Amino acid sequence: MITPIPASSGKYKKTTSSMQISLPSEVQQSTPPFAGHYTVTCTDINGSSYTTSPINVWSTGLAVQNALQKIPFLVDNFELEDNYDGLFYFPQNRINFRLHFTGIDYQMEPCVIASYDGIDLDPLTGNFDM
Amino acid sequence: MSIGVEIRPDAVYTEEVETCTCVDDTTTDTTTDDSSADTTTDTTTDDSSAETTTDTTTDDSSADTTTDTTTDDSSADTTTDESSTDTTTTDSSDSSRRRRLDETTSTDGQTCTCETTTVDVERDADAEPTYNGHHHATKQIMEIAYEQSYVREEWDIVITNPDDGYFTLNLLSPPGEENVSVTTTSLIPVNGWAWQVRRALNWYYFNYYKCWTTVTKTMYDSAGVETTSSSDAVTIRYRVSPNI
Repeated sequence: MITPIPASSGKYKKTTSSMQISLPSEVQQSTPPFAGHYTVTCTDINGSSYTTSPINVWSTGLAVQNALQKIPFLVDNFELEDNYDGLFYFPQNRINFRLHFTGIDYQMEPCVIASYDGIDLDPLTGNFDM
Repeated sequence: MSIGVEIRPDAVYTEEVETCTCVDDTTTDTTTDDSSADTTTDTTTDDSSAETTTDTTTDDSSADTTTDTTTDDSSADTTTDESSTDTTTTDSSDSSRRRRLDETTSTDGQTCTCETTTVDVERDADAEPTYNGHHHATKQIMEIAYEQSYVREEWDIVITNPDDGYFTLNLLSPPGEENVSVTTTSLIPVNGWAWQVRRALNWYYFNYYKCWTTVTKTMYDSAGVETTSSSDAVTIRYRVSPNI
């Protein structure tokens, strides 16, 4: 709830103008944030793909790193950095991180994020109409 | 939407392949003496003109002789100096391939013709995912993102008949907060700048949402038409959009 109050302080004059607040329900509501879980799949030099356990969208980079460390060929072979920018601070709006493969000396196929497709946890939901 | 961006090493490199064929020297009249004359014969075939050009160059340290001879291909009359030892053939029809023929005489009485082919190879990054780099090479960095089409919330402060006074906003704490409280902003001029409204609201939004806001100001005259003149403005609308 937002209430405008005519105010004065010292030399500042109280306004006599009329004021009205139009809430987001009348102007524009935001997109619901991400919800659910996702996985990251990476492929090794032999073409074998490994998928992490489900990761909650609320998770920080540390949780993503822990999940990736369980992939055999990635153990101690990468560094992960959260890649937030000023417009998408929260992972609920944009999942974004950077992997530096410090211990791998061949070209990897790009790792892929996908919605979790298991039955025990919720899949990833959001506005994907892009 | 999944986005994968990666940084790969140079995609173009050069390979040289050498193939030699040796025959008995009794069938060849050509001899080689590296310490004396080092003569090169270049034969270039121009497909478009169907001509064969033979350039014969002799090293300055010995006999200084240069001969350029152009012959018609139909006559197949190619002149070669007897003392020539190296023959280089360039296929001008394909600039990415350079072929050189080196004819040498080995010590065991055989003449070997070696063909060196240089090829520019363009690596297809998608077709060669298992390229092995040097262990000191720059390591791969991959950025992975998953994003949605995000629409930001917007709300308005609409002021009618603006004067030169000031106002504040009382903002209730967001739903879900343990303690319900009211945040009162600093003084905001009615007919001020958008950034003054933004500055007054930012503390509240950063405190509860860890974000700033974007505020735009639009003025309308008595006819409801947008105007840029403050003196003509009858209605002012500040549109607030949290950057979350």
